[in-house]
Amino acid sequence: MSNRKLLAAAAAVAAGALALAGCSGPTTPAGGGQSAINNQQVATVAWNQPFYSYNNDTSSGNNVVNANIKYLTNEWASHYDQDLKYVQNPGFAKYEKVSDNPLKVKITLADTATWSDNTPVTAADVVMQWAANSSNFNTYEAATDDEGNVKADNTGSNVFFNASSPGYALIKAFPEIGDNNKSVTFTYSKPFVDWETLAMQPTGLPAHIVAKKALGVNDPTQAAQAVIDAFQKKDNAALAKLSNVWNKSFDFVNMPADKDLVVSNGPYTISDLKENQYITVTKNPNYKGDHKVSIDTITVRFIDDPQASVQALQNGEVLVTQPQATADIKKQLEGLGDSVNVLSGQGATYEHVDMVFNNGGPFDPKTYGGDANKAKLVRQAFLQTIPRQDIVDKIIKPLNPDATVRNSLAVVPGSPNYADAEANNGMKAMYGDSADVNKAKQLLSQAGVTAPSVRLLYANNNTRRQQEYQLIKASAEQAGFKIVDKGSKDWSTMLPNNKQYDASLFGWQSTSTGVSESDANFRTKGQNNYGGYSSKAVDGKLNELQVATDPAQQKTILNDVEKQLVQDAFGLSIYQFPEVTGVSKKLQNVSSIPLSPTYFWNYWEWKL
Amino acid sequence: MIRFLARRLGLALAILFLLSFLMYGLLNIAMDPLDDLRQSPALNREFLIETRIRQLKLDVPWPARWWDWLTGVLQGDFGEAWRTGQPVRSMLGGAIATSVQLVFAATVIALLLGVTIGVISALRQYTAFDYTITFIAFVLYALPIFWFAVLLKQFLAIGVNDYLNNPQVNWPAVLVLSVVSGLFWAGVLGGNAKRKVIVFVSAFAVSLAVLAYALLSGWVEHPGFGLIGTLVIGLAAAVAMAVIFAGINNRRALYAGLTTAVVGAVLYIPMQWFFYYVPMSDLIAVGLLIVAVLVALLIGWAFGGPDRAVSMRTAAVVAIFASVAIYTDRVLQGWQLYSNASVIGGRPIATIGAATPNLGGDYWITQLDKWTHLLLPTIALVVISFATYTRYERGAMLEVLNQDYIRTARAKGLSERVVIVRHALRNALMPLASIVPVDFISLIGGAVLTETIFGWSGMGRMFVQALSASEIDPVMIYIMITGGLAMIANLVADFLYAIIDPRIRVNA
Repeated sequence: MSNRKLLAAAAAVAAGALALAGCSGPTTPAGGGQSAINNQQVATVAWNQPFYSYNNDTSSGNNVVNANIKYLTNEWASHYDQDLKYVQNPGFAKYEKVSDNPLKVKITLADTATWSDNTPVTAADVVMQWAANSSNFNTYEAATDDEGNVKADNTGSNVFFNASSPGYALIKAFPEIGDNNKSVTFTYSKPFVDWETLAMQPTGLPAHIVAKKALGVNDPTQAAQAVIDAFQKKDNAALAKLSNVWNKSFDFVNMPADKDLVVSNGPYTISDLKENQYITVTKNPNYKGDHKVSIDTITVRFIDDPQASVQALQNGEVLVTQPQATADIKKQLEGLGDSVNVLSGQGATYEHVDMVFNNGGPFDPKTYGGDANKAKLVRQAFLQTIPRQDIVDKIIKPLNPDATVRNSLAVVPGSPNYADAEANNGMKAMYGDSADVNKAKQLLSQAGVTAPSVRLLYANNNTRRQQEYQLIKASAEQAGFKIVDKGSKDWSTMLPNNKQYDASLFGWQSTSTGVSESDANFRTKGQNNYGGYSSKAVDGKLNELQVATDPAQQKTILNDVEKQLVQDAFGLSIYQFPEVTGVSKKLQNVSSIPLSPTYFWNYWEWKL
Repeated sequence: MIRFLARRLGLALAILFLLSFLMYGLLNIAMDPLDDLRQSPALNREFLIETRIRQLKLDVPWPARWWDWLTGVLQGDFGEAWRTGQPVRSMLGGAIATSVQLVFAATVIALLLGVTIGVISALRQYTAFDYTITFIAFVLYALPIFWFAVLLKQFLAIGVNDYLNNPQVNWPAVLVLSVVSGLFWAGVLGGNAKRKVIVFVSAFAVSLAVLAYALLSGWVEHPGFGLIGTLVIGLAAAVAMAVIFAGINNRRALYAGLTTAVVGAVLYIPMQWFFYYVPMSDLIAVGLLIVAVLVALLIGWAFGGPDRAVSMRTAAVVAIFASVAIYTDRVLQGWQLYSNASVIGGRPIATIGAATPNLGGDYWITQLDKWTHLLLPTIALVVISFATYTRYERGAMLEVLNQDYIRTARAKGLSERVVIVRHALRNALMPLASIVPVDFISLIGGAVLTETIFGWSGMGRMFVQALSASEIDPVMIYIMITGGLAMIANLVADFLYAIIDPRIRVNA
């Protein structure tokens, strides 16, 4: 072909092209029959940890993120309002104290209370919540005592519910069931001050689903009855299976194929879950209660990096974020301008240092041949070096200019009892607000211990704790301690393993306004007593506290407990966490309360 | 050839086998799955430990466990991440797909950009352009990705989204960009001062015009190429390919390219109807691309002439450009729909995650969503690999240009284009052949920081998380896969060598 022919061919093609170009394409870009884009109302919010269990009552699933999702999907009989007062929710259940002596609490479920699979919420659900949490049905202890050894699995007649609620444990007798399976009356074996915090959440997991999974009973009514029967008759073979399901089956990180596992009784149900990415809850069509929600879907994205979550808020990818508050993050949030409200306040968490008493480390009497006094002197010396005022000044004041050192292990600052506790518990008197290196040196030489090595556990992916660690290290090393960095981002899973560290720096979050809350932190072998602290005096006082109904008496007992803790050099509280919440103005009616479920507390009032 | 392949594969399998045994043993020493249970305050601690020992068979010696694991893997059972009870197989599928998605585009773009800039930088050695590129490359090379990522999010995501919501054109920025573009082209094309000035002024003017058009005409709110854009892209590709790889005097190659470009534009409207009626998938997209390339090869073949291969190659590359343009255009047509979706809320460029939760939508919307999420991490990864590739390629090119055979080629009167493209470039690509496959594989498992900052859960994060949770099965699979891929990458590198360097034969 010559060049001219080539040109001619090309020209012909071009002409054809122009002719064809005269036609036009389809006007609507969306193809026929293909799935449509979602234009429902969606509120996407951020949380700093991924969801991993739908049962937040087990000791492994007990985490704020799980509790928040549980709160979005399940009803409470009452919830906290912004002033942390109880607000009853009769659309789901009512509770009342029927008698004082013995303490009897009656919980009546509303007729409209229904699980999302259309099974009514019944007494079986309430009974299971009590029975599983009480640990009264667990049999492992007997087995250990007989053999000195435990059978290797939770089958046969070995029952173990992985939870311990000191309050529920006081309900020994099987409760009365009445009102056509819609009411349960609990009789406490001893008076229990915080009965209302238990009655707030009368149900947890759906009993009929647990029974279906564990016992293979498919009919919901029969399944629920099977749960009641198993607990009532202490049918350990059945309870073993129930406990296995209750402990483990509701742990999932991706949307389970089995929709039974996400059955809920609240305004929302879990509709999607992607590991390390997000969880979505959508309106529960079978919900008949009072908390009518206006937003179709709420998505909680898991963003662990505070910086990333602030940028996601700025970019509108999330509408609410409550990152770990640092001065930089607060400044950044405030810099976002008009589109974002920045709410700051006090959180429910307080920072503290705990010691390990039973790991053969520097604070364990065993190390000094059982010399309890020597170990105590070393503990006191260490606590003397903690620069609490310094930490507050450098780390907390930029966020909350009114911040002060918290001088109580059990009473929340700002509550009516705090001033009294601070004056009486001896913490301020003994340790002051600032570090006293000379006194620490004195105590160490008095103990005759030189250069004890302290492994300090903290979250090293948390800037604030890193800074605190540096301050403590500098101060303690001046006094002659040797500080070993045990910082880890997995600090919370390392916490129960106290062989790995001698002192820990972390926060406790209050989950209720109850006065018996600190029980698990201080009681011998208490669930949160990771340091292995054990004191007969404190245990006795805590027993008294559980049954003290008079508020004045409660205050005195709590002060006594604290006094003992300070004397034993249990640990030190440092400060109350500040809390910063960034809320996009697109989402209305969002505010935060110090207690879990923090900014989710009134999600039914949220409006887009 | 086959013997070579068999021997290499056999060797690879033997190494993997040994690797699995050694790593299992080492991990067994390093990991303590009972870690959290020892000294747990739970009253039933002993019982929990017993349960876990039975669950993980910790009472069995590790070589036996390794054997169990190996036979399981050979039968397709990859074990489970025992803490969450997830089967490794299901974790792996998602993680590999995520990682490949994240890394593939970044590697291709970094390679193309890096090689091009590196070659030009070498050709313009010791000019201001060369120094500037060297400076930028080193800055990028030293850039900490976590910091760079934050800046990217601030300016490219939040800034662009803000602009889309409130289109206030920042003229100084537009002018600066145009000046940079002018300087870049003046540097690339070089020549004497007069030519440089002309190039600068025209590049500046064109950039300014294009930017101003895009910003003022509302193109940014309704992006896309349309029929005209597709035609222009195809024609430009044809001319560029012809000028660089075939020589402008090879009319047949030029016409083959131009014809392909026109055919591509002609197919633009019919393709819209095709997309309208046929639900799309990645498979169909790849199929269409293959068809397009085959048609182009046919066009190139039809133009005939003494070196058909050159025409065919030119046409094929043009077809790829045209196809990508049509595909991209179709994805971008969903822009308004996507941008206005309630979950997007008019802020399409994402800073976090691999996809928008609960987006819904068809293939094209999902694809667009993927792109908006890929944009920032891809840029971050490109910037880092780009710096390396530029430096490598510049060095390689300079070395080749100083060889005797280049002088010989020039001496025998070959045009500068032929000397550079055919004699220098081919040889200068050889070092990259051994770097790129290995680089790609190490990014798949090693983009941990990028994955974390942008909230992607790919292979790197799976590995790190499993490692810190003492879950041996996911870690082992990670090691096997990255190990296996590394060997394949090396094999690929050897083959690439053989293709690029005629002195090497693989039947050794």
